[in-house]
Amino acid sequence: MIFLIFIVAFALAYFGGRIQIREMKIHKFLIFMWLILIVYLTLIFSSPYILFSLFLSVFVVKLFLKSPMWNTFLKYTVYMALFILLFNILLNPNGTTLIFEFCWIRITLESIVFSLSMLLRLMVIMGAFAIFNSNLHMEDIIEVLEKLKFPSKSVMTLALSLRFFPLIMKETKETMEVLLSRGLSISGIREKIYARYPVITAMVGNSLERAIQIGEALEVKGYPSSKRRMWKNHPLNPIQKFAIFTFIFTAVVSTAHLIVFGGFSFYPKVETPENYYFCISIFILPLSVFLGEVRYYD
Amino acid sequence: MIEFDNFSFKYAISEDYALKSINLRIFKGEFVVVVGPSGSGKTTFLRAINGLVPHYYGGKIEGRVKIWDLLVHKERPSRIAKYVSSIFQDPENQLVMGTVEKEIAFPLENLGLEPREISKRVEESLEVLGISHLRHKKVDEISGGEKQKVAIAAAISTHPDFLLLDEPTSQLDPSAAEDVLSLLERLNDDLGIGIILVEHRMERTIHRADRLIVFRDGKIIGDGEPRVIVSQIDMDSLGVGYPQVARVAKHMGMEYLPLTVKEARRIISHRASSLKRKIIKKKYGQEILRIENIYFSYTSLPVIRGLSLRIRKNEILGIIGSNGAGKTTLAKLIVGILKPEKGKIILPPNVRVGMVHQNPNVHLFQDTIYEDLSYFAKDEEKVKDIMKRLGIWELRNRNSRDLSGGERMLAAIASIAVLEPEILILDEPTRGLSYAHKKQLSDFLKGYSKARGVILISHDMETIARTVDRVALLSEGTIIAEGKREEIMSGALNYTTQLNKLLCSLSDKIDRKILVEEDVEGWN
Repeated sequence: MIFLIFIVAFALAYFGGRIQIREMKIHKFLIFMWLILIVYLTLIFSSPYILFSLFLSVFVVKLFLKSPMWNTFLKYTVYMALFILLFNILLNPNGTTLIFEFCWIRITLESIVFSLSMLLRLMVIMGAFAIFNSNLHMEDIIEVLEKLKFPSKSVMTLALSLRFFPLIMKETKETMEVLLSRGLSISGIREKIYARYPVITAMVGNSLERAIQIGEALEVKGYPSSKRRMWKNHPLNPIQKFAIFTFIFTAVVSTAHLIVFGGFSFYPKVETPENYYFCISIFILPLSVFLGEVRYYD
Repeated sequence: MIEFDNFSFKYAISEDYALKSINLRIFKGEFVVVVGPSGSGKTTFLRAINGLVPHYYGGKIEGRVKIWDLLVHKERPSRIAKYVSSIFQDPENQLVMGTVEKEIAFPLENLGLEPREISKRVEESLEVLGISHLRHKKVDEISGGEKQKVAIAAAISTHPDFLLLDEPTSQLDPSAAEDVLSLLERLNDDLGIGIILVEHRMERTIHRADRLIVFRDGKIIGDGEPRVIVSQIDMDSLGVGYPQVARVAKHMGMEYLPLTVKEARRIISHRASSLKRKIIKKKYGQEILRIENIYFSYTSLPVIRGLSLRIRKNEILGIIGSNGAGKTTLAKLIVGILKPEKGKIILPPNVRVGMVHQNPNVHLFQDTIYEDLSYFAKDEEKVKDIMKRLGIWELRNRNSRDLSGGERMLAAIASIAVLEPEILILDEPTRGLSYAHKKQLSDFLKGYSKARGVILISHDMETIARTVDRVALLSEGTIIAEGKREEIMSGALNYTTQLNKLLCSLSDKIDRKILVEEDVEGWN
């Protein structure tokens, strides 16, 4: 049963990138909260059945929301998968159902299920982030953080870091090009490490100078100001507020479930299947993100 | 009104006063151009108005600066920002938000305006600057000229009385710079916003100004009507330079100096017929670079298409063309940073190519510029010689961060030239350079090219005309015109000098191949 789950999940992850039913526009705050819920549930549950339910839920969301990054994100998951599988299967000797043994290598059914479960967890998180990044730009995230009353200076620092990061990378690349054209040799590992010194020095110098200029720009634009007020404040309508309530409800019920029934155990023997009703709720409840659709007249 | 009352200022880490006993008044609606050599106090003057001095840059103050009834040193910059907006040299580092719309709204959010009022003002600013189509664009996706327009839109959105601009066009190509300056003129005319503009390139700005203020060593040495001031002060010896037509008129011994080609046509046309072109025959050595039919693209669109080119020893080749024509990509292909997809770049054995990038900061990373130069070149005498020839020997113990933009560029050029590559490529080296620095650079390249080759990529037509032997005009990745500089540049509408434009609009008997003063017989 568990193996079948993984095969289905892999197939959906792989072929899912090509399927898109609609491209709904969802309120940015709701997408943000949905991501937090999915990450939270993924981290607290290790049961492959619950994680599969969550993956199915994320996949359904993917079908109806923009997700051009799905393939890119899931591609990295495949690379990681090999590492996770090998690492867990070969180095984890726990479990009672022996499948293969040679010298120090001891492969058990439990260790395979455990690693597949870790992989499923990774797929859920990557899938959720693929959807999040496809639908929210940095501006939206900053707006959401401001809405959540994160300290203004921290949000500004984050915004500036993200805004200037590509520029710093470009300058670093150019510095390297200049150094190479000036005769810098990077044939050995040691030389490669030493070559980083002038690049880092230039990068730090440029960044510090930029920081002064940004400081000047902020100051003359009247920042920081006690009067500061956000321009675009998209309020949530009652249905969207209900969706947020559903997310909070799901998180609370899930936490309670974990406290009452405990976590899934892989060792010494893999547990019997989960409560199906709970798995179905974990699949359905996060889908309330669809209630956050923004229509053109909103 | 802005009022300086016996104002002096000394930075905390400096021993000398950056501004000394400044007394003046600037009225709302005036268009003021501020000039002066590097380190003369122009930027500090602006900082004293917008409150960065003393609130961001601490130091010792004497006297006072007032904006209407506000004493600048007693008010927070956020309060001063209501009356004064500032725009800086580098369009990149003054935009703090991710999208155009958010950037324009940012100072309004800081003023605590109602969202409805912010929406109205954002809309107005976008329309006044003609950039409504950029509204939702990311700041990273727009050009330098557009970035500067966005910065201006954000600055005027607060409805300031004064707009302070510190060399806002130094990083822009000529057409983008012209766009920005025309816009400032319109804001001044239509909205009555006072403009205080620090600029190096006099020919672009001076004719727009009501008033010219000249700084030297922290003091004002000239303040008044631009034509009067340029006739009284020797701008060349100050290192600021004149518009080219004014310099020509000065050469001719005139007292009243024209500031535009139109004025020059009226004033010096009768004397222009006596100008004779100096014929100089130059011998070139063997070919040191041959490019045959190369193609290159970053994406599916070709950036370089079927381009062929050659350069010989003792030759300086100028590459001109609009932004995005492929000039920098071509330079990177020649250096070997990029590889052509098709075609060949043929360099004889032992011919090395060095390139000076547009951003001098990527060349300089040591504690002093002397260390920067000697990092790879171990010959101390050679380092000293190059630094002296570029006029930066006196600055050898300074950190590059403490130098002006022009001095940094000269140091970056020196850091590559000291390695003596057989082909030296300079990508837009005149950005931020004063007249004196440009002259120095031109003389240096002429000397350097003996037994070597130089490729100069620039939008600065006067420097191109003063320096190069041959010009290649690049458009959409291919060379559409190539030849001797006087053949390609004379009579051109855009790619020529003020002097040539003047001569071409006069009688047919005048030699129309004169581009710069050095081309005139009997003039040095």
